[in-house]
Order: sequence, then C-alpha cells, then structure tokens
Amino acid sequence: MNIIYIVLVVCCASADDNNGSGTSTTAVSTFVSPSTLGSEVETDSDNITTTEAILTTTCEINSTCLFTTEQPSTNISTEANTTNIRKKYYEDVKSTGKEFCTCNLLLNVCDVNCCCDKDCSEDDKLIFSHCETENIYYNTRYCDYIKYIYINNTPFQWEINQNGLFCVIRSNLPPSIMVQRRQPLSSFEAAKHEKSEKFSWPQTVQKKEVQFNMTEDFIFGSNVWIIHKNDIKKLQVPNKYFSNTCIMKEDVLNLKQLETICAHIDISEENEYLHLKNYFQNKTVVANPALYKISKYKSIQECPRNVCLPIWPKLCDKNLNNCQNVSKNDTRLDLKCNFEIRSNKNTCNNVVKYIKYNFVHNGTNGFTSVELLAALENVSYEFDAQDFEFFQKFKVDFRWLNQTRNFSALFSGNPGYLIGKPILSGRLINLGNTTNVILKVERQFDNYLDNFLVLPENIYGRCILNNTNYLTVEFGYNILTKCKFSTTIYNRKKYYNGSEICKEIQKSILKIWDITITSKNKTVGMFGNANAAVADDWIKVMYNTEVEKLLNKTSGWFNKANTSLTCSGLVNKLILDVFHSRVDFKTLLNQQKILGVTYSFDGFTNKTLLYNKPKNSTYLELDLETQVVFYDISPEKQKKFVDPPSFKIMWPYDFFYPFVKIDNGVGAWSANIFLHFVCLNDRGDKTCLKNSFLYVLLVIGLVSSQNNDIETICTSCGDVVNDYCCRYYKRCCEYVNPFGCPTPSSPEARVNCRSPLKCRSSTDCPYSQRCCPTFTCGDTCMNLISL
Amino acid sequence: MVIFAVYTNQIKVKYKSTLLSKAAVLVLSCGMLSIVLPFIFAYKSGGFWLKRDTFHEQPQVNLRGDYLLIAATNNLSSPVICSSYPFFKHNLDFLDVCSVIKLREVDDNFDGRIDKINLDVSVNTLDNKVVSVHLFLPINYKLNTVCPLQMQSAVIFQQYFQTSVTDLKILADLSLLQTGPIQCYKKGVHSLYDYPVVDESYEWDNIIERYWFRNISTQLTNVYTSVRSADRGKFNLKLTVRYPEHKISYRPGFWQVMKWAWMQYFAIYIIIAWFFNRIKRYTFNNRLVWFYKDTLLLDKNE
Repeated sequence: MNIIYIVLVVCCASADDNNGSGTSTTAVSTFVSPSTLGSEVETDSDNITTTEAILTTTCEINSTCLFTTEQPSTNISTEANTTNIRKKYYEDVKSTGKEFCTCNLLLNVCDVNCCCDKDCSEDDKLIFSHCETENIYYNTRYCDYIKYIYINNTPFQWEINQNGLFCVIRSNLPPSIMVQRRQPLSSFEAAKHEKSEKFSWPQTVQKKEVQFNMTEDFIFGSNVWIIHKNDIKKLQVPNKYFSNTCIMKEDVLNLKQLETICAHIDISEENEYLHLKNYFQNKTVVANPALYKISKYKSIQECPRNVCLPIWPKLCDKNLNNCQNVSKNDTRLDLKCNFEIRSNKNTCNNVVKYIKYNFVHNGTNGFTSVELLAALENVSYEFDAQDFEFFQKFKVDFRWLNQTRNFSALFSGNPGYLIGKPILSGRLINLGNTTNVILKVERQFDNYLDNFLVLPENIYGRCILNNTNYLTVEFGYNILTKCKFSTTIYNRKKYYNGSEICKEIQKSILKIWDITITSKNKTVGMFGNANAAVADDWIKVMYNTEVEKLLNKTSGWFNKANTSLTCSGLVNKLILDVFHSRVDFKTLLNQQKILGVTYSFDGFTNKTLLYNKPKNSTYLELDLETQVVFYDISPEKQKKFVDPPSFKIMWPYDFFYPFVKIDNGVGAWSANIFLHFVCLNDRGDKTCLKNSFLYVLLVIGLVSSQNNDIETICTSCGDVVNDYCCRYYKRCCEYVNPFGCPTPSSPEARVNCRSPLKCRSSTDCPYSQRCCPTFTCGDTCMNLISL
Repeated sequence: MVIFAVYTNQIKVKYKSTLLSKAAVLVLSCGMLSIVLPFIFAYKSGGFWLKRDTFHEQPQVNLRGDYLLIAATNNLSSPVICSSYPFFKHNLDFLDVCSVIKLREVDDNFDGRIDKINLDVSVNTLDNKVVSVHLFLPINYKLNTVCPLQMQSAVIFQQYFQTSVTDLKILADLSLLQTGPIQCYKKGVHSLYDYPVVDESYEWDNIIERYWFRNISTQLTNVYTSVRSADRGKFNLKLTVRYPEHKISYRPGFWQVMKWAWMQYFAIYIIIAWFFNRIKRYTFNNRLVWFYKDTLLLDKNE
C-alpha cells in the first residue's frame, strides 16, 4: 500500500503577539523564503518587522509550524544594528549541499546577489542586498525542496512564503524515472521533422513573372499586353499604397475597369510618367494573343495594325471633355521644366494630369481599337520643407464595339433599386393630344442630368451643376449638402420692376437644383429598370409649392436711387424626400420600389443686392442647403388569403380504371374532396362566415360540374365571355386560350387566377401588372369591361 | 407496560366518482394546472430556456509566422512596409527596411500553451520620422474544451503619433470579440473562420474592414503604450502581448438547455403541486363535491 506521508500545518493566529514572537523565535529553527530574505525583512536584535503584509510561517525543527500575519509596520529598525545583522545573515547563507547554483553565470567571478556562488567570499556577500530567486527550478510540492536552496544553521528565524497548506515530506511511491528528451538530434531529417507544426519564419516563394503566352485566351481578367521597343510587356498604370505616392504599378486586366489616383514627388523631365509621349509613342497593344500567334510577320515592326493596335492619343480638357486628335509633332506633347534659382521655383509645362485608356473590344476577337484620352496641366511650385505632391489620375475603360455612351440604358437595379445606385428620372410628355393622351417619358440619352436625380456639387464651397460636376442622389443614402450659390443677373430686358429681376434670380437658384418651370412634369422611375416607353413605370415628383406659384410669390423692389435691389421669398433650402418600400416581385423578394418623391422649398429669405446701374446687372451670393431623406414605408408583411386555403385530394386518374372511361371521349369521373379552412385570415366575423358558406356552396356546385367548358364556368358565375379571356369568380382570369379559361386550381391557370391581388389603382400592383377593371392586378387586363 | 409505535402503515382511501362529475373535473383541472402553471411561471419569469452560456479557457494561440508592419513617415514617398506576404515582397520590397525582427513565444508554466509573445522590430528609418504604425500579425486561435473552435485571427495594432517617435513600447492583452454566441458542434470543431485574414486584397483598409466584419475575432485590450523620441535613424517597436483566459459565450446543447429548464420547472412544480394537493384534500375532506370512498377501513367500520 502506497502511503504519502504529509505534514499537517497547524494554524494559529498570533499576529499581534510581538513580544511573544521575540522570545519564541530564538528557540525555533525556521526557513526564510528567498523573496523575503534580506531585502524585505529588516531585523533588530529582538523582533522582526516586515515592510509589507505577508503571510509567514514559523516552523520548528519537529515540523510544527506557526502562521503569523504581520501588518505593514511603521516601526523603523535601528540603523546601527542593521549592518551587523546583515553581516551575520549572509555569512550563514551557505551553499553546501546544493547540487546546482543556477545564478552562477560568471566563471571564477562572484555573481552579485547569487548567494550559492562558490566564487563569492564571505566578504563579497556583504554587498549583497538579496539572494536571486531561483526556486522555480524545484518541485515545490515536496517539503524538502527548501533544503536544496538553503540550509539553516543560524540562530535567526527564517520565514517561508509557503502558499500550500500541505507539502510532501516523504513519498513511498515505487521508483520511477522521468522520460524526457535529452539525446541530441542525430540527423538533419530528424531536425526537420521536429520543426513541423512549430513556429518558423515564412519562406517567401519567388513569384513567377507572368510571361506573354500566345495560347492565352482573350478572357476577363487576363493581362493586357503592349509592345514597346521589340519587347512585349504587361500594361501597367501607377498606383499608390498606403501613402499617396505612386510607389507601385497596377496591372491592367482585360475587361476590368480600373481607376487609380496617386501622387508624384519628382516633378521633372526625368520622370517618365509625366510625359504624354511615353504613353503612346512606339507602343502598340496586342489585340488578342491568339491573333499574334497566327500572324505571319517576321518582326515586331511588321506586325499588322489589326494585331498590334496603335494607341490613338487625344488631348482633352481637365474633365476629359472636348477631346481633339493630336499630331505627332504637336508641341503640347513635350514636357518642359524650368527651375528658377532666385525664386526657388520649379515650373513644368504640359505635365500629364489625367490619362484614360478606352479599349474597344469585339468579344473573343479581342480589341479592335485603343484610344488614349489625356489632360495636361502646367505645374508651378516652390521648394520648401514639405514635398510637393502632383496627383495623377489613371482610368481604364472597356466597351463593346458599337456600344455608345447612353445614360438611358443604365439601370439602377433590375427590377428593384439597388442601394447606392442613382435614381432614374425623366420628363413626362404627352405624345397625343388633350383628348387622346399618350404619355411617354423623355430622357436625353447623353445627358446625365436628364437621366438621374442630381444635386449641385460643392466645388471649393461653390455650387456647381453641369455635365461633369454634380452630386448624384444615391438610393438609400440620406444627404445634407451646403454650398454657396453665386450668379450675376443682367437686366437685358431693362425691367423697371424689381420683381421681374428677382424672379429671374429665383429661376437661376432653382436651376442649380435642376428645377425649371417645366419640372412639374419631372418623374422618377419606380423601379431601377423603369422603361421610358411605359408611363406607368414612372411616378411624378410632387412639390409643396408649384414652381410657377413660387415665382409668382417672389417679389422685389429697387431703392430710390436704383442702386440696390431687395428680393423677398428667395429659396435657399430644398428638402427632397423619397418614399420607398420593399415589395415582392413574383419570385423575387424585397425589391425596392419608389412610391413617391417630394420636393419641398424652404428657407425663404429676403436679400438686398447691389445693383450696377450702368451695366444693368446685379450679383447674388446665397448659401444653399439641400437635404435628401429616404423613408422606408414598407408595412409589416402579412399574408392574406383571398380565398380560404384548400387542399385537393384526388384519386389517381386510373384508380377506378375498369369502372370508368379515361379517354377523351367522355369526361372521366373523379372523386374530388376539397378541404376548406374558412376565415383563417379574418377574425371570424359574420360577413366572412357568410361569404365562406356561399363559397362552399359554389365550390360544391362546381365540383358537381367539374369540366372546363367555358360557357358553363362563366355562365354559372353570372359572367360574360369574350374571345380573349373570361372573368372567373368575378376576377380577372388571364389564361389566353380560345377554348376557355382553366379552373383556378388547374396547373394551367396563372397565379393571378388562383390568388388575385385586389387593387384600386395600378400603383397597388406589383411591377409590370395593371389594375384591371375588375379591381384585380393582372399582366393583361380586359378592356371590354369598363369601370 | 409501555406501548409505543413500532410500525406505521398508511391506509389507502380511494375517492370514486363518475367521469362527468364535479370531482373528476376538479381532479383533472388540478392535475392539468399543476403541470401547466409551473411552465408558465418559469417561462414568464424569464430565462427559462438557456440560450447562451459562458465558459473560461485560455486559448491556444500560435503565431502563423507572417507579419505586416506599415509605418508612415514624414517623407511621403517613403513609408516603411515590412512584410512576409508575397504581394509586398514582389511589389514593395524596396520599402522593407526592417533590420531585425525578434520574436519569442513564452510558455511560462510549460503547459504547452503560449502565455505571451515578445516582439521587437528594429527599422532603419534613416532621416525619416515615423508618424504612424500599423502592425498585423496573423495567429492561429484554438479552443479545446467546452466548445472546440479553430480559427485564424490576428493581432492588430494601430497608432498615430502627434510627433515623430523612435521607440514604441506596447503592452497589451489579447481578448476575444464575439458578436454572438459560438455554435458548438457535437462532433468536430467550429471552423467557420479558419481561413486567412489576409486573402486577396492587401490594401490596409480592406484588411481591417474584412477583419472587422467577422463575428468572432481577437483584439488587443488593456493596451498601454510608451513612446520615446531620440535623435537617431532607427525606429524600435517592442510589443508584449499576453494570452490570458478568455470568457467565451456559446450556445448550449439540447441536454444542457433541458437540464436548466427542468430545474426551474421542478422547483416551481413542487410548490404548485403541494398547493393543489391542499385544495384537493380540503375539497374531499369537506365533501364539497360528490364522491364515494372506497377503503378497507370503511368496510370494516360498516
């Protein structure tokens, strides 16, 4: 039987018994923990006081220990005695009986504060302040671990910072050995094996440079190759990483739009990226790697133009509009820099500011042409401590052959609006006359402002709205924007009435919001793919005050000297609210549909303007604010059953085969059992119950005459039959079948027949459906029945 | 002679009544109520179904070996980008000016789990001054006990300085960030996020956005930094991160939920059952409903 002998530590509190401890400590042999030894314990001849509260154990030789808890004491020991005590203290710290001295790290030299170092003489130990902590290397479960560290043969009390309540003094467990790895690794393979699944620094694999491959297909994401000086290289544009500086190159990939903006610090003629020539001269684009393979030219110079496409440069304005072809000898192609030492100023002309590659492709045949649009700028800056950053913009665009720039063809979702996409807008026009109204939505295909809802953009604080500068209203994003509107109004018609001039001013303010007198016909697309040919896809914008009324309200007057003009009722705030809802469109769920757009004019202000009499003009500066808020007015979805849900359980058609005829000659007899659950959606009111009862009677009647005879069906409903469709159960049944309507439950019947949606107007219906004269939503309505 | 009770025995009395009688209805409703009411009380008082619970565990965290250190300097064209990722090696290796990276994973108690890491990075900045530091160290994070989980996560640290700095010391703890309880699997390990944090895009914005979007991630908490500015062409970063015990929220399994619910239900059931028992006893003792007794004792008396 294995028995572990343990020592029970007897606890008794004698914290305040200082006098007693003074006498008892001389009679006991105790141990001092390394942490409390020397540094933390200051002794005088009679008692021991600690500088911090520690749990101490006093152990006698016969293994009976005492706990004493001593509070931080302010008692200061007599300085005179301290040196003597210390001397004795460390003299008695012997290292005899210790196998190792782990703090001995200097050969033949005394390690300071290493009490077990044999190199330290007794005199050396006088300079020690404490003994190095080292008990981590010993198993503290055993009571005798202390003897490995210290042997106390002093007359002084040692204190142990003993955390455990018990310790093992003797174990009679069978002899055991510790299995541990201590043999050196014998081979490199063994060392490699030991490394597995342990930390090691990563080994970076050298990247294989993509080489031009003639068998490469012309597909999305493959590299675009250019030929420059008999060398085929990837087309790359500069890009930034982390900072603004152009420090890396981005690969241009096939059919992948790319836009980068980065800054150059080096503004000089040596910087190749600032020369426009370097972007196209002596450079051709490989139209398609496969074409390159099959072409039979001998050298790159002989490469035909349909294989090695020349890059056609065009110089444009800063927004890449008004582009013109540029000849090879054009002086604008040359970058020229001039540094003035006196003024410490560097000036460079014709620096490339904006580069845009337009690749035209024809599917798998590859590129058909490459166009380079560029904008140049003159740069001038002074050298100072801060680096001057010259920003360049690069854009790469791909489009199909025959694809033209058409904003009207851009959808903002299909069908529901996507978050962040622009809101379709247009103008509602009547193609017919006053009696025969044919409505259509007009959108100028090449004018962005005419196709989407836009606001003026804040350019350096100024309100700007034109074809290049605008702030698009994006679906789902609320906007608050402010800018300063300034304009000069010339009184060319020589109005003597101030009101007329103020109306002109009011018109110019409204124009910056893209609102004119004709804006009463402004419409927005209810869905992201609203069709301009279908007026019902669009919804008219509502105004809190009609534009004409707003202008009529605007008034103004000159002062007596005609030097100033005061206008009242000038609008300086526009609130644009968009109401939208999530609707299910056939099988698509939660499609965003715009249900209303309102424009509210607000912040009417009076403004007194200086009037320049000789020039008949006045200058206006006004702070404008625009607010856009999107309101989600989707109600909580509720499924309402128009009909009580029914389950049709039928025998298999040949279940009674020998007894019935199942050919087309005579209608087969079949047993139909309808299970009806009435008034599930209603609250059990009497009307519902009554209707349900009638309905059950109707169903019974129909079941008894179960066939697809249109006359029978429709006549029994008390309905009319036309050559296109019939109303079924007083609903719009849309089955286009000259032989008649199917039953609502038949697979042929459309969803609308089985579970019609009630409506009052077409706006209540899902996308592409109309509200039929039967007050039911349908893809095609019967126009024969008038409301 | 003294007489005392040497043995006791209970007499069973049967109260009998017809099926459609007041007594039957009373007993049935009392029985039903004593079963249903505890459930209602326990449910309505909240916390009946244990939907999440927590446990504490020190995770097994190991550095994957990769690193990314980005430091912006006052020289706009020369940021410091030290990384082991191939993207940076191939494109921005000329910006890798880290001279020494010293790393130690410390297991204080030799239990096989790393308790802390010390990372020292020395960067040759030359004349440039570091104005911001972004550090990214991918780690493998593993839980083994209650809810085994394995994921790839990261130690991410960002700091912007008002003035240029040459020495930065960071002390921090690694903690687990959860947006919801972890789903524990009976067999197998939760490995939904066991994929590289840096995958396709190496833009710092994309790295942190992608990482932020995760439902389970790690972050540095209890962060203390000390900065020093000296006039020399080096920048030193010293990072010490402890891996303490983490509090992990998880979704309890079926039997744990049932056990918790049963304890609540049964505690209330005892009280309610006792109450209804008293009602039944009172009703039958006072003959408030019609019944007849069927007992051996009565037969003898009669």
